[in-house]
Amino acid sequence: MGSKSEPWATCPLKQEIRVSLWEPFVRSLTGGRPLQNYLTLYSPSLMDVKYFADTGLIEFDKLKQRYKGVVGVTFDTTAFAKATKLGLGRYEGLFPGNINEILTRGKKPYYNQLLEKFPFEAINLDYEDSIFSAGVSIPISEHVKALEKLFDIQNKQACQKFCLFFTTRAEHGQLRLSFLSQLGGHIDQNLHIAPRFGQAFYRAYRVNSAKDLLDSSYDDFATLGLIKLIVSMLSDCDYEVTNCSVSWLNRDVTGGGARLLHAAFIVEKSMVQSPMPAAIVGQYGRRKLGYHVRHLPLYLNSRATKGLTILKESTDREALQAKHGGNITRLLATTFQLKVPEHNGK
Amino acid sequence: MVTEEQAERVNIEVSSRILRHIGRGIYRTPAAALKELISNSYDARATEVTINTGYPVFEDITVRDNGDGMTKEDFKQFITNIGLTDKVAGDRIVMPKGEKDRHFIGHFGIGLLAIGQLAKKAVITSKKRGSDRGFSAELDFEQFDIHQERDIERAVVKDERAIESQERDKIRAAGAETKLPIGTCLIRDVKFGAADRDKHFTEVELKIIRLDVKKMLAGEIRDERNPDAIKCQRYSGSFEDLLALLRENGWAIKQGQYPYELLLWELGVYCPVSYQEIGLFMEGKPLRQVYQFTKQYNFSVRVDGFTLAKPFEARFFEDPEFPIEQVFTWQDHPYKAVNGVPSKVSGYLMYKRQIRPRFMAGVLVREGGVAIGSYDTTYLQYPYNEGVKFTQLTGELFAEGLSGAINIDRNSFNETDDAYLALANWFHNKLQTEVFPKIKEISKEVSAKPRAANIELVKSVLSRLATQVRSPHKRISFEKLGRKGPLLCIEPNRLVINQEHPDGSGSGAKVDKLLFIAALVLKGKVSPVDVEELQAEVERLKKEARKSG
Repeated sequence: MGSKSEPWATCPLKQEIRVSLWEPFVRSLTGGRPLQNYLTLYSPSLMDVKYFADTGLIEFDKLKQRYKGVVGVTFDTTAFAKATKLGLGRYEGLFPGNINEILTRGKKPYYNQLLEKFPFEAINLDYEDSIFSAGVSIPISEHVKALEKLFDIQNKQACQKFCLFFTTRAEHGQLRLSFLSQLGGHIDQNLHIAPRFGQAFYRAYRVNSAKDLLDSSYDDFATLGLIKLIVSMLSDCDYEVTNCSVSWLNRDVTGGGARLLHAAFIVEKSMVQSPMPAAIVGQYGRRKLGYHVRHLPLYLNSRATKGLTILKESTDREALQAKHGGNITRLLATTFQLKVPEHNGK
Repeated sequence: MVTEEQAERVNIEVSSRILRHIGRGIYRTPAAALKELISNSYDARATEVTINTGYPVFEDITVRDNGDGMTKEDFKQFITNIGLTDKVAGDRIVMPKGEKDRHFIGHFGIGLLAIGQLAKKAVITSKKRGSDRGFSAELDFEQFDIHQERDIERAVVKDERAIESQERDKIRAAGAETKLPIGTCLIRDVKFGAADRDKHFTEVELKIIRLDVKKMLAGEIRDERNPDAIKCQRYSGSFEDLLALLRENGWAIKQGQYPYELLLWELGVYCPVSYQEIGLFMEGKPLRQVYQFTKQYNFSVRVDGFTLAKPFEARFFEDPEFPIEQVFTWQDHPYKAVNGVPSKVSGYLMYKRQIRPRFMAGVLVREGGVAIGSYDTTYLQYPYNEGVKFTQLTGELFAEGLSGAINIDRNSFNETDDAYLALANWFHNKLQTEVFPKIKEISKEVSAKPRAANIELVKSVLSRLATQVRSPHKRISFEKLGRKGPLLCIEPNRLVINQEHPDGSGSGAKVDKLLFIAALVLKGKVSPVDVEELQAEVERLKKEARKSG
């Protein structure tokens, strides 16, 4: 993203995602009690953790001065250093490095230490880049491999139900063409074998094929394709999605047109056995075609009635700033460090 | 012969260079330097200090407190008179109503120099209550430079000779009152909002951490020494987890791993913070008073989100493998008197067969709640060798009246100081008359338990063997027949083992030997007399062989 883009910490659109997408999903999973454990990509703002702590969905253990059950992975050591001073206290675990590398290459010593923390009740993969960017030449991108590994570990650690938040840059030009084509193939395959899916698909988009959908609405195509991919990957690890919702965040003013798809899922253990691993993206979920998408029509029905949620800086920022500005400032000021009053020297 | 008139009285003076060198490094570790800043906060009546170290990269370090703060004038007075302070260690600091008064722990007013040891640049911002004005001072310690001389790093001052020459000129011109500048600092007024009039604080931002400090904290010095070693890293979610990590990784720590964790451990040891309410510090337990005593400090230090505490964690008390065998406590014992007023010491020692982490073995002396140095395994130079027992004790002494004995680094004592010697004398007396005799008693009891079990084992094995080999000596008994008496005696229907013989005591190391010899006797292969003669012969030959080399 461009260097002039507004930091996510102060962005009211992002806060809207936390409030209207993430929080309801966590509440629906836990019934309002705090999460037992939560995996997040740790950014210096810590706003997701602070927000959940503020709303009682993460417990701050005052005695031990730590966010109970919260495990973070930072991209680099500098972010790690900055992040440490911005929280109220410590996490249960914090690992510097790229989560993809830690998970897929078993990077020591963090892989084993991270493994000890599984399974998680909520996983927030708030990526800022693309899940399968145009420059990637391997059959399955590192992001996708890491997702596969993550779901596999959740399964092996006997996790029955969890919440997954997934964010990716997905505007035109960001996703590799062959990846888009495989997503399209995936959709078409389901249209052929699952009539209920096909009916819901038509009701939602008024088209009959993936190609038509791509031609009529890229946003809808990318949304459905990516959701289906994640659902398929979860299916390969014996999971099914029982609820799903998405919001697009369009940084059309400060972010150089970056558009991020935010997806939220409730994932539950499925009774169908695991298939063989996939060799290419298009093979995910192939053994359970039709089965794992049984909840997708729910998403499509919702899409048909409510439309696609798109938050735009140009049109929504002002109203959302008025709505969330005070809360953002308050959360940002929450830190273990003593506060120094503002003065004209700073 | 020189007459009185011919003699010349000359002032003894120091060069400013010596001050610069002091500023460059008088503290043994970064933790000791940070402790100096924390001590300043304590003396400024702060109840809370927060530190961010910038772990794991240590680019900058921030120390903030909610103490009284300073005005620009206070700071100017301080910065232009380093070492000339009104603070005298031990003096009372009156605290707000409801809080226990403190005693100054600062001593030389040189806390500022600690900054120069850690960072090249620093910004100090402060404000007192009741004003909307404060100040911000930028300190530049770049005048110090590192210079390699015969492979040894030395701190030198840039353009040192030129500066000294200028100083000499100034001194000549101005007379004896001139002070020696060691650097410069830029002070600005800063204005705060009206709503913040009642706020008070001091913030020290260390801007460019010295490379050697950064390397040390990040464990890179260890990496340079041993490039093939795999770096151990484990994030600790709480201070107690961190303490457990140190307990479990003694060997790795010895090899230079976990330097950051050690820094925090040292700060927990040094600072006047409280104990956790665990183990012997809980209600009704022997060290409750010590807990309550430190709780009165009403002083908390948070580093990177950790709340520091004295370095005990639950497992230290709950370790089933190495339980606490004995606790010695002393309350307000006078150890010396000045003008009829006694200086008192309180403290404790805990005895367990293994102290973990091992750097907690020894005694830690505190003055005004602040540790001077680290755990001392010489026990203030105890003159007798107690061997392994030195590593089986941990404890602290809270002493009054020691401030005059503390060296300038506040990390060691002048061991020829009267107060220090008096304390050492008192302590050695306690060790000699209470602690070590009791430990010996416990050790005897501890070793007696397995011996009793071994004796029963020997009896059982030999009586079975006697039946199997149809020996007439079916009864096996242990009796005291003197240290020089025979190991075994045969009576018509029993075999007597001499309990006072070195091989007959039932100690674990000798049991197999005893069983073997007794088996030969029961089987009728040798007589007890043969055993004695053979043992004597073997001893004689051993001595001869040793003599002949």
